[in-house]
Amino acid sequence: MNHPDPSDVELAASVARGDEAALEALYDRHAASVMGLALRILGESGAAEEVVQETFWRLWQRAGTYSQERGVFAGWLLRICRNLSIDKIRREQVRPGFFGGEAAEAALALKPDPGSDVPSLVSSRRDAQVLRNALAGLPPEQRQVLELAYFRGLTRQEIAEHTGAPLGTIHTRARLGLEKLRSALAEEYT
Amino acid sequence: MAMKQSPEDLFPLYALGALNEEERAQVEAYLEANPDSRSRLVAYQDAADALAELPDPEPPPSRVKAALMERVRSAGQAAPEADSPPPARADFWTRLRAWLAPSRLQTGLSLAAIALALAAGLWSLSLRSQVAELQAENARLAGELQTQREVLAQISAPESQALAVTGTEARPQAGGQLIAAPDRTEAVLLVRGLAVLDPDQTYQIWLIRDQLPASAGFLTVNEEGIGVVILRPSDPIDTFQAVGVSIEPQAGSDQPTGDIVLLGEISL
Repeated sequence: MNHPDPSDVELAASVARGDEAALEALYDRHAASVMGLALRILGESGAAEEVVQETFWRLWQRAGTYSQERGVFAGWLLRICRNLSIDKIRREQVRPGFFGGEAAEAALALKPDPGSDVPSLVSSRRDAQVLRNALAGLPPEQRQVLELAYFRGLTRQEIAEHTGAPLGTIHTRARLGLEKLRSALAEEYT
Repeated sequence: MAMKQSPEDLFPLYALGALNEEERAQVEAYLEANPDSRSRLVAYQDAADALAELPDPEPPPSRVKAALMERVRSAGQAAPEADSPPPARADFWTRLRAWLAPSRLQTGLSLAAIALALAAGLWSLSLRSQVAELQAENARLAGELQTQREVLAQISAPESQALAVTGTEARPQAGGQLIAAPDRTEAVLLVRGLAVLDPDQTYQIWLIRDQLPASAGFLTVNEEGIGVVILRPSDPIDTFQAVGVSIEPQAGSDQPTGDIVLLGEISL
């Protein structure tokens, strides 16, 4: 075929017009990433599957609200998934067990893994190992704040209670963590 | 809770989704007032978004896609909840009493937070306007502006209070506030977390006195699920005991017939 695959943006526009085939194409392209994130947050495959379906259902209903001003399509979709997952945790008051220390390291797979064979299911994905290395380069206390906030859905007050650190310290760790992560990624991709 | 930091200090935790509702509203209102600051937030947001790509992809079972597509085909372009199974429908008053139980009621947020949340909602509403639709949007936005002025006047009234309105089991993620003052025949209802309805449906507002609901108008929400409406009951708002919102046929109903999605006690 001479025709390149339609972009995410083009497919999203088609979904907004009610094109089921476009929805299927976006599902095939992104479902694994969405499932991976939901599974990571919820820790249970049944709940994660519900979130995957709901994420793409929202896409079906709201594709017209997506614009490139909202960022890369995959990021927008994953944000929906993240929000739905966190909502589910908060609504059902179910928090996957906290983990820290060695367990956190293992769960985050922070150690460089040269043998890793992450499927390139989504061409636009950043290299997961680059992300892991960037995160691994953060001081543990900064990494912990990012983890508790993003993947566990804790508020800043809850993070302070969980870690025993003052609220101001949580602010500083979050800020420094994100700034360093961004710098590391920028270096990698420029 | 009063925020002692500059709103920009909250940008990293906002990007990480680690703020409560009130704090989020304050940040969003700050962004509206200081659009140049958005680039600083985006820097944090980019980094936070990267975290979403950290987990390894995990192909979901084929049944997930099958269920999704079946849902799509059976619902077509219907509204979000069109094919959701209807929640078990208890007697209206049973549900009302349950939701008005003191343990379910929440303390209203500060008026300042409400004002900021309102501003953020309207700002979001205006942002999603597309260039091609701007002219058509102008008239509507002018109406929004007028509503906003009236709402702000209501909020700024020294005797106004913010009363929590809570999502029911039919819409647990919904919520809002009723901003009202004793002896006044105007009040502002601010809601969030409601889905856009089918064209043949509407949200109808009810003011309840002595267990009798009286229609107080209709409510529409934007695609962000936010809606603002000014209630103008014929009697002072504090002569009613509760406010509710239900889903009704587009023409409205004399009494609530559909799912009640929001309820709140009026206690001024």
